[in-house]
Amino acid sequence: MQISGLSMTIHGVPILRDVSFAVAPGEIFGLVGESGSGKSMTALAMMGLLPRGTQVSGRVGFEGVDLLTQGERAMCGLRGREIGMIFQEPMTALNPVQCIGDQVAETLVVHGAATRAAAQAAALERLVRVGLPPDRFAPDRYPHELSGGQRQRVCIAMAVALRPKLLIADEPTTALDVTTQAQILELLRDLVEDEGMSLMLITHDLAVVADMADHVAVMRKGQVVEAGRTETLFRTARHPYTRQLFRDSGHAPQRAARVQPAPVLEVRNVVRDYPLKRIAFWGNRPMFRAVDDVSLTIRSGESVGLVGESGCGKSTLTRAILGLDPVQGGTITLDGAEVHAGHLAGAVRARMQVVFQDPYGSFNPRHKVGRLVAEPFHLLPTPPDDRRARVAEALRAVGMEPGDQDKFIHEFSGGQRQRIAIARAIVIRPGLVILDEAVSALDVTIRAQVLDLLADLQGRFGLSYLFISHDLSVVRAITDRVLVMQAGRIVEEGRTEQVFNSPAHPYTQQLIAATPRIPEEWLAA
Amino acid sequence: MRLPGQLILGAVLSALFIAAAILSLFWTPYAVEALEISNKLKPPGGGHWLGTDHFGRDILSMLMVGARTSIAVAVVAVGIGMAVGVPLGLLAAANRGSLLDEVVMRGNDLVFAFPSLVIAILITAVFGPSALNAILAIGIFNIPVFARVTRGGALSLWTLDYVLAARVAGKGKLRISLEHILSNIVNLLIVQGTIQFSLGILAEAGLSYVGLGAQPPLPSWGRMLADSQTLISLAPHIAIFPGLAIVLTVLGLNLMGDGMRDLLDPRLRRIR
Amino acid sequence: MLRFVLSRLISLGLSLVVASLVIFTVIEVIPGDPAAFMLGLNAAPDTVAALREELGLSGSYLSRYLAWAFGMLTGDFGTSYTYRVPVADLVGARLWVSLPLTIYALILSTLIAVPVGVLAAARRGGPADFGIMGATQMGIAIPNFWFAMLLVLIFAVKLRWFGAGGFPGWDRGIWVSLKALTLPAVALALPQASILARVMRSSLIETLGQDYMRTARAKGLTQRQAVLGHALRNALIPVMTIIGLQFSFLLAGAIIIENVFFLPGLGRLIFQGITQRDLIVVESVVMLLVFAVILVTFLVDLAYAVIDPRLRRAT
Repeated sequence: MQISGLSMTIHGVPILRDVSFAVAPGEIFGLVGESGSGKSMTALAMMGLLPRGTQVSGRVGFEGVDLLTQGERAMCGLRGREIGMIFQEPMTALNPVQCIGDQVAETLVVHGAATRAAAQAAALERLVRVGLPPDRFAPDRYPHELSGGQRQRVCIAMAVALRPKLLIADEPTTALDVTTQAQILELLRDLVEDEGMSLMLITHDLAVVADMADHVAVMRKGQVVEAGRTETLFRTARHPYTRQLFRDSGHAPQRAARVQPAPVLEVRNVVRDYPLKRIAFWGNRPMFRAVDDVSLTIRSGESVGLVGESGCGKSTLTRAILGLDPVQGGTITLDGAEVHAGHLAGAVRARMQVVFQDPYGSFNPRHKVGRLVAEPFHLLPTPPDDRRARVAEALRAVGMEPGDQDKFIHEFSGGQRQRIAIARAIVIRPGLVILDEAVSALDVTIRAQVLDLLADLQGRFGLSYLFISHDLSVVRAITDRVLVMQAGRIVEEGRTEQVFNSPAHPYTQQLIAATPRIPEEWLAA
Repeated sequence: MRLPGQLILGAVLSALFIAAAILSLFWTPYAVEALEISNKLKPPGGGHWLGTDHFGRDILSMLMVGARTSIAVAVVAVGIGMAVGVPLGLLAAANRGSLLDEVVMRGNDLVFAFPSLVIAILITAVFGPSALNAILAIGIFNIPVFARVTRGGALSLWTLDYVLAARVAGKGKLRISLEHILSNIVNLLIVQGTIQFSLGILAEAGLSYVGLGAQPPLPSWGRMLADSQTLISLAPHIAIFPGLAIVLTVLGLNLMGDGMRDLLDPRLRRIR
Repeated sequence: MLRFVLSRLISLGLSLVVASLVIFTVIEVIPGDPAAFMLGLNAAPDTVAALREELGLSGSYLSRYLAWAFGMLTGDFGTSYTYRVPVADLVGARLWVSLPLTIYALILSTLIAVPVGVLAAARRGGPADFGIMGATQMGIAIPNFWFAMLLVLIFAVKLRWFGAGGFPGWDRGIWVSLKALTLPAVALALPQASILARVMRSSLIETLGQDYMRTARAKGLTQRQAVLGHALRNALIPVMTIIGLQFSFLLAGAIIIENVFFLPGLGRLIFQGITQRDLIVVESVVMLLVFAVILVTFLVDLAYAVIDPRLRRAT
């Protein structure tokens, strides 16, 4: 596959400019860049699946043929047979009303490669190959009966059913947990080796590329800024953007932690059950124990990380700590006052605030920033007279302008919104700020800035952080202590460096081993 | 911002209809009570732009007063639906999965099993026919519609982080419903309100047509059609004009609703 | 699946009980003394007493309700006050006009709407789409009874292709009867078909944008194969809800349309019942209509489970 001089506009807006790279047979080629850099559009151009209103120029050479000049019929013959593709979101990538065996078999049938019966047999074999043996995952199962990782395996089986020469994987593991990600990447690597196909891996995650790819191209704003052999590129990055990207990806802010011995938050043996959907009209609702006998302490000025994969109970625990949901056992004390859901005194609640993951869903779009940031003042018995001044101060503290008070939230970018969310959290000077995946939705460079900001605010206001994340590298960068949560229980707890360097619990070891990392010696230079 | 053509066309048609209704309060070409048997079933033209009916009454004047009846019935019926349905929907969403939610939703399902015609039949059987029947019947049928739309819109908002942030700021469910939820589903309600308004006009016409709605002498489009039925082959105009009035009004309101939906929120795909 | 059907059946039963309670209360309890109400203001006291006896009005609210409800279960709807015949016989005869008319219209509406909606979605933004959207916008705005009057004017009065109304009876032959129902069915179906076509279109357009459509194209399916093989079945799920809802609209519409065509259906019966204060007839017909709507909702739920595997195990 040879891309040369690929440019693209959608309704006149330039998307790609003069993109060139080559994918050699049997290699893994990584295409990295931040959101909006044009990675996915490049892939869709290679597949001939561009949205309407797109103008393309340049050349997409595949085995000596320019795909951009091929007709739709020829491309249909090529897709799935010569070039397969998988996408980011396995939860929605499969037809919900068709069983998985049929969906895999369809690839074979549509290309006339097999009769219906033969295709079913071949589909079964492919499902086994991707790790879905029929005794556990019968091909007449439907997508909703499978987990995200299993669905992504089905997608892979579909894409490689006809042993294509090239597989394009667009952020294949971004929506998955880290251990599942490791398994899927392992599967992809095996397939490349066994079947001699090429893999083009599109991702925003530098560590994944470092781990997997033979060659890498870095994209920014629709252009390839640098390309080369993976190790060489990491060791000798020349372009300033590439360097900044590498630097920010492993960014650890300077922190001057002044931890006091007094605890801010104490969670003692907390249990949280919630009822599941009723199985039948009659009978009791089954209960699910989301948080099981969890205890933790956060001292004043301390950063504590809570890591775990999706569904481990970290969000449920957060809601319990925030006094949003009742607990079924144990106690939560904040500054010596017990937290009860439902009737929590404003003065107690004012001691803790929260920053959420999604910079877009965190604000009522109908209110101005001033009103949004001032919302926690509701917790005070009387609203302060100098409301505007205090909001302005909070905005200044997070690096925004006081004049931003009179703007609406849609006028700000994702990174700016996250700063405003932090301003809202600190405006009433809480002791504890809970950061619930607060930087997970941000691009690498923005994330580094927000982490710096958080470190700075902690020093200035003596804040304690409970930092909840699935991203181990971020937690490692900003916390003093870390707790590892699995299936509702804390399985390991300790000083961050110690836990990361010598994990004791098998699950922690598994997590850390599964996390892709850029070899340190690559970045040393 | 460029206004879509259908919004303009819809707004013009709706405005015409509302203007005619308002004008009829002060002036109509002829008095609607004026019977002129000698002048009956006159085709359009001359002194009567749209002709006269079987009692010699001026059709244009009757249409204008009929517009008033339609508006009154539809507006009050939408009002009833919103006044009861929206709070119910907000409450149900705020207490998702609770007994209250269950009761509201099952109650909705139950009302959905009674088409507004059936409700009108029930009320008429007990209290006798009147325009009030039509209002009540259409209004009751509107309640679950608004409750459902409100609950659906509110539920998707309750999952958003800003609602959580408001709860962390110590705000109660009631306050959040009013401050954060309601203001963000207003678009939804306006669009649904327009749709229910036009459906209300259709329903009022249907009920009056079968004699369950407005009673004589109150002019109403549905009654005019009922009266014209036996004379349609003799004087088609007395059936055609009231029908056209209904079609144009409903069309105008629907175009306006669709246009507003596209304008206010392109992602919004409420389908009735 | 069995569990799903069972839980749906229970909810069907509960809805019927609550609906019948509502109807019973409104009709028999709110007017005060139904016997006096049915006889009018000037009735002699002993006539009222006789009617009370005849209607079985002595006894508590609950015992009367139970008698009525169990009577209906065994097919005994009571005796019409004006006709002096069992209501079941009256209703039975009329049902054979109203129900076929409704089903005829439902079939027509679906047969027209689904292909038209698919065509509009496939040609999205083109002239065919524009024309279909315009026509359906008109179709929604037309009151069906006025449309019926226009149909009579054109096809019965002017062209004389159809009779202007009346119903020969099924014993005169299926084709004659179906012909008599054709104009009413068309009048009922077209406005509903307009709504359904729009739902079909927007539902299909929405499915076309789903991720699994991109997956299908990446497998090498042509756009047409992907639409027919993947989008259509998913797009039909919301369409089915609307078809279910339309049943009740069509049934109500049939009651009105019967007036235009002088069809001896439930509509005529119920309006006669109202004018003659024959509460027992009104009560029975209303209950029957509500029963039909609830039953169709149940059937749509089952159809859902067949088309969408995600629902089979949920309640």
